[in-house]
Amino acid sequence: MEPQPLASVAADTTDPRAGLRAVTTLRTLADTLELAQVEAALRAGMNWQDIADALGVSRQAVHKKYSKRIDPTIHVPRRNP
Amino acid sequence: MSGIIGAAGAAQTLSLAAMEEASRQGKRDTDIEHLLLALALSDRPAGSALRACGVSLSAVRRAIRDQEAAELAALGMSVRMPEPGRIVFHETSGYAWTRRAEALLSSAASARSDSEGAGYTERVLTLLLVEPSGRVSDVLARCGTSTAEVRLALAGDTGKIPAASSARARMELDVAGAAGTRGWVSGTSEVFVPAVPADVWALLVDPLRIPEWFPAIGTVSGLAEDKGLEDNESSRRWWALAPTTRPDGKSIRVREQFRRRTVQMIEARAGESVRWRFEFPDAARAGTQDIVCDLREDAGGTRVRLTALWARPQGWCRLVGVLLSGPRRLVIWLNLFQIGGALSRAFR
Repeated sequence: MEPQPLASVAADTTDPRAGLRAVTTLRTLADTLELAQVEAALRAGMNWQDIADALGVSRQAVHKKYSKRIDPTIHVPRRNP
Repeated sequence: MSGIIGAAGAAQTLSLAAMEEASRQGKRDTDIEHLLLALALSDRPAGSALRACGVSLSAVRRAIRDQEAAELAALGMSVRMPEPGRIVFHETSGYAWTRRAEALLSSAASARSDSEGAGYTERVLTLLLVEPSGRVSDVLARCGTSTAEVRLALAGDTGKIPAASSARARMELDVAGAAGTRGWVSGTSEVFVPAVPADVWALLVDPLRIPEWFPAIGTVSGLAEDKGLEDNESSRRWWALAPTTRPDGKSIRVREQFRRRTVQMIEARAGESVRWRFEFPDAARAGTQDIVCDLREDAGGTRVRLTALWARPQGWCRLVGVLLSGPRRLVIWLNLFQIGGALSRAFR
């Protein structure tokens, strides 16, 4: 698959106010996609540690951020059953 | 009490609608654009002013998507935000305000209140119109208007609002038994529904669709013909069952005598007003409840006046009823709040 030119004009700083707002939107997009991917990972059977490893953060960090946000119908295996 | 209810009502209605809109976009952080969406749905002067400027719910939704796409394109990205889905706020959790939305709401709440929450929604809109990021201004421009035009419309609309439309009037408790409600305790609220009156009417008169706007009912099944309940064309009754599971799949415990109720359409004036009666045949002491829905066309949708009536208890229970008038007022408000929210949600 061809890589997307993710930020080919991101260095354009002629209108910093518009640029900053665009970065805020980019961050929102990243957050939305991250939540969708975390839910997909849990549905696929991955645990919090697997997700944390993939994201490059600690298990505690990813659990704190997403444990209450994910679709509550997703069955999440407990670490110590 | 009514002051607390009025203030809480304005804030709660706005928060709920904003978070529902965030959930529809797959987001958990609720931001200023979601507040704008909630305001476009409001039955208060702020909502009327926005809609008068062409800022309807569908227009804001479209404008936000176009704005986000334009901003991402400006960064060289050819992706768009994920397609919005249905509202899942009530099935999910973890919703929070962004820092700027929280600060804005806090400023609106701490500003001098005129009376009982009246003006809270308008203060939120006023603060949104001057928010420093320019986001709201961009979205309004995409809706074909401007912050100045909305401010003008708001000033005009607020001036035209008669005193009877204040928050005080939105939650009336008829303790004296006014004409037509003698023997009942009633409360009234109003909700703006983003759909044409014909569609709202079709929803409100269909007994099988009652669960869509009456959250305490999970399903409506066949006609109630047993237990001596008559069944004729003029007073048909249906069985309505309480929901047994929450949207998130967890079970709900409902006492045996409150699991089923009968539903009956008491009166209807085509396209204008419908009155439903709800009774618990298995609970001897449970009172009768009526819900009256009066429809009125409004710019961009329909305004529905909801009246909840509870049969006034008789005998010694009446004394208890008087002592519990405060909590009962709260129950009626919650009842109306839930119905109003569900009614609006049914068309989003």
